[in-house]
Amino acid sequence: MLDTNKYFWTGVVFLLPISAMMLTFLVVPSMQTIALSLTSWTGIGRITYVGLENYRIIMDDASFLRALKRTLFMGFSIALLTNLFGLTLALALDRAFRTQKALRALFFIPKLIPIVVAAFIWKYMLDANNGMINKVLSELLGRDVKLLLIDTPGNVVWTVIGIAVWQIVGPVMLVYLAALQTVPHELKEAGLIDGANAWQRFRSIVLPLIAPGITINVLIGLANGLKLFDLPFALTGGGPANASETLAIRIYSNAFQSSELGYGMAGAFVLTGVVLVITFVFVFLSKKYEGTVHG
Amino acid sequence: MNNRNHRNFGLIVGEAVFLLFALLYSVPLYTVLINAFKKQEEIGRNPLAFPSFEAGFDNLVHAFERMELLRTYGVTVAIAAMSVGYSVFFSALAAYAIARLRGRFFDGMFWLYTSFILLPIQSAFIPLIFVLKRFELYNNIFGLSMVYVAVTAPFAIFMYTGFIKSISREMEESAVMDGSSPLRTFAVILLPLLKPVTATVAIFQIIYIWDDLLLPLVILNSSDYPTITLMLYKFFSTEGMTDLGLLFGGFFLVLLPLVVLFLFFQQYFVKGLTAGSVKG
Repeated sequence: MLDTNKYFWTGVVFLLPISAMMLTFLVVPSMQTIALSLTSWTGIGRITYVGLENYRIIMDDASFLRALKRTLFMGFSIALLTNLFGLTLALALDRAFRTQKALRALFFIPKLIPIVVAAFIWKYMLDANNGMINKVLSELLGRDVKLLLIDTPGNVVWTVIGIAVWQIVGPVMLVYLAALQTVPHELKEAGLIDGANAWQRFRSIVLPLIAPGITINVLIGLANGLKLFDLPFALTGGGPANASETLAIRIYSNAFQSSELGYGMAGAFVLTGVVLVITFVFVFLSKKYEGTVHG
Repeated sequence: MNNRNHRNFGLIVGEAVFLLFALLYSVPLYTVLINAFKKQEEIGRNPLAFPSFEAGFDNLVHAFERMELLRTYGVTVAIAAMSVGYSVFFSALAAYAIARLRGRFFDGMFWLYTSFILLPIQSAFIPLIFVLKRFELYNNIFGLSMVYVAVTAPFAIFMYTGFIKSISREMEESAVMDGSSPLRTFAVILLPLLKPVTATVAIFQIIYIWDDLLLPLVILNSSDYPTITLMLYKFFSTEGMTDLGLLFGGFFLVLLPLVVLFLFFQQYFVKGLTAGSVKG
């Protein structure tokens, strides 16, 4: 299988079984979404072409635009915070801690908790009236503490971001740990001898070498953040007052609670477009960076 | 010498601070572990204390029966086994072709597959439901499994391609000299070498399938065979927080298999991650 000319068609056949699944259940339906977003289809009956009408309605829909803005904000915040936090954890863990394995596992375990379960546990902990945290704090401080972390529109977005970071940071940390293992010790020591301080050593020796890890991790953060569904859906149902409604939740409720499918699919395509554009811009920039440092 | 002691001391303090932080980080897990063994009234009085074990294993037993955990476990494991099995084998096969054959076609396919990682499934699911209905796969665990294959394959191909490229071609070359066919070479020579990355890919896929709520909600909604997350979600929506002991018992049982699986394969998992994602 090493001679391309001889085995070209064998290679194509090897791609087929997996490509068939992706085409049928992911790619073709996504294409149909684009086509149907240009119609006033309701799921049954005739399909009428309406051009960009659905997109015009969406752009006039203030609550859709708020959900879009919120999704972008949450996506970027989650990507940024998981990376800062994950890299910090990895740098700290990348030394001769005797408990390294245990620590690594403890930070990874939140990823293993199904989001529905995590959402419920956090609800139990954060609830304004009977929440565990408010109860424990009240007892410790001897006065009535009432932190409204998921019960007011002003705080709920940050709480959701915080819980998402808590959950996603494990794999991000592992990728950074793996990347740090590729940095040769001699290089770090050479930096020490040259008298570089910790930040200089990090920036000019470690950072360029872990650049591919950063690319993957920001992608993990963005993909998780921009498509966020389960967590706010199970934690607050998108509330209070729609304050934690992400684009994914909105598309879900459009699709299953209303008959204006064309409109719903225009929303879905906006989400796809946003995710694709942001990611391609990011990958382009990071390849360029990797290109300049690896020259 | 003095300097070294000083350094060791710093390391120990750093480690202690870190452990403390890790414990704080694990409060949600701890909450489940201890409250699974308490009665409702004891949880209300003192949620963070160690259990008095009055409740024994009652919560676990009740949760097991009331939430029909045996059936939902079975359904989820069956879905995971079918989709991970298919996705892992055929993604590795596709990655083999992409990693070893040259030319614009295979390079292009690599980028195409990689871009599919980003397609949000929300963008597909209305037409997807119609596709599934046409093949009579709606409200059907086979249908859901196939959708999982489609969703998980792009990332698997990405990981496998990176890993295979890092393996030397010598063993395959000598196999080809001996007259081994491409498929045989793949199955006999390459597949065993892919174990670490397979562990990583499979664990990622299992976690994803075990945790996912969106697709079961969309595809299995009125099925008699709900997945664990779907069952839990429905259970909360109807019963809420009325019996905390029962809920924590249920959580405990849902968490257990994945945590054990991860701790067991941790070494493999980290190794595969290094090889597949960073060098790729």
